Amino acid sequence: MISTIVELSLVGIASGSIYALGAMGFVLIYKASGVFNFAMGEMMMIGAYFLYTGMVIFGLPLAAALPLALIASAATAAGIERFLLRPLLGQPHEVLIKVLFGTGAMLRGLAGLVWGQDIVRLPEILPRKPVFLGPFLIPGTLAWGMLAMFVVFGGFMLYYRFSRTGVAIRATAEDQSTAEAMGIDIRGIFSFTWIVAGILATAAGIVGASVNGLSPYLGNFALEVIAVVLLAGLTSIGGTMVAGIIVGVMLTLLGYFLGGAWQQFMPYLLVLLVMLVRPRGLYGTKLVERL
Amino acid sequence: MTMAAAADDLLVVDDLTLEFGGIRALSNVSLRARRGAVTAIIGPNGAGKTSLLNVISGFYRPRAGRVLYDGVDLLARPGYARAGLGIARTFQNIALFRGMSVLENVKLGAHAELRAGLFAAALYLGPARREERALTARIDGEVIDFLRLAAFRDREIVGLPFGVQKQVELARSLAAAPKLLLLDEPFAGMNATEKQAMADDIRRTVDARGTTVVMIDHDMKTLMALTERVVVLNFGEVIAEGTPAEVQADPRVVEAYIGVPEAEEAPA
Repeated sequence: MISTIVELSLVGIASGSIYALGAMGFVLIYKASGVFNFAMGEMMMIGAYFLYTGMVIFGLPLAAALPLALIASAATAAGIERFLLRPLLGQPHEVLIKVLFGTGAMLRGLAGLVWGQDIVRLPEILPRKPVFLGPFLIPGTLAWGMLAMFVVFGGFMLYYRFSRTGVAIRATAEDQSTAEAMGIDIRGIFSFTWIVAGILATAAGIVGASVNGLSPYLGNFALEVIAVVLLAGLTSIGGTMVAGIIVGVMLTLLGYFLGGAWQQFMPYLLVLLVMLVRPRGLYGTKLVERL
Repeated sequence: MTMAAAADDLLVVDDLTLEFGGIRALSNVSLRARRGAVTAIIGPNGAGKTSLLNVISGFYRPRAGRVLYDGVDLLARPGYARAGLGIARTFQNIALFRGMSVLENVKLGAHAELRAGLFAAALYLGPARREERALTARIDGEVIDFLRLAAFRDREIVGLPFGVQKQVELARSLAAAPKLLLLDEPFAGMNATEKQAMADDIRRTVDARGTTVVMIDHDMKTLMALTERVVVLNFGEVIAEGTPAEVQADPRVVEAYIGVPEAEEAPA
């Protein structure tokens, strides 16, 4: 029993780290520009399809297909920012939300047209052979996927904390006019955060698709991602990892002990409870006015 | 009071008119800031002082007028380009990045001079890294030590005393070794000792580096000892300009500026 729970928790941590990566891209965009990116799940899905196209349709090796997929999804994200959002700068937020919902639906539809509605498998990039952590066994794709996620996450945190561009993003997030007075091109920062989010989404999408298969509906994943974002509190990049792991472990345990139906709503029940006690989420900064 | 020759003026503001939805914040405002001198803009609350600074900073677009900086038409440039041209500013309410350390804040002041682009800097490799180290070394010497901030260098902004935060904001504006420094109420909220220290720091900067300063404040006593030239705004219009003594003696100023603390010095 105990060993089952530990094993399931490890699986949960692994899948949670995928949510966390998607959530990190989401939070990055939100912090820099205040935009709620409802197309995040579809960006994950499209990125995975780009890799699929390179490897399966054109038969490229991973070493060529992965950089191409990352470039293509960075370009897609930059395109969304430049051609759909930039013209709407200064419009009320609900307009942006509608546009991004629409963008998500469009990407889903396009993916169905181009790649079909069926679930396809990505070539095996991650070894399937189960990994033993001491006495505990984790499916290989999840274990290696988790390792990849942690490397990307850690690398990004270091970059965000210490690099000049990371500092410029943090400055823009805190105060746009002051950032501009420092000579920071804040429009450039908006583009840049979308590009980084596109790359993070693709990494998350590829790992997600390796575990669960790839279809235009991979983006439904985003529902869990949004739960993670809300739980972490919208503005904390590091917090997304903790929240991702909480949600991942919770989902895995619920699925095993109570069945899939519980998985559908429990993350949101948790978010609701956290919101009632702590409206700004676990790690968020003051966002909701205090009562 | 004759206007100085154009070559001596670093900043020339010509006939500036700014409106917010029909409300006139500035009407035909013109002023000049001489190189290496301190020019103060004074006036009652709502006179348009901060609006004027915000036009120069590129936050507001005026309806009409020109702003020339060293011969460059500033209004044709995006807001973020000011820093690269050598213009720095401070804000009325301390606008430091609170989640960052003193050093990080001050270094952001020199953001525009870093040559590595967003992407090279993102990778934090090679040249970007060398550039970063050189910048830190320069800032330690020229700014942190210059403004006695060494003890606070690695502290977070949150929790620092108000006077120190003001000093950090000045440090940040000096980080890029600006030619033009715009200061919005640098003495606000300070006690007499802190005001004197801030005035001394501004004076030292101007004397040692030839910086041109355009500043706003209410503290007439401190301003009068610090500035070469004073421009008085009232209801969005320039009503007087000249040396501090000239302005203080001007009856229009006395009339508009009820808040002059040295009322006994003003002519009856």
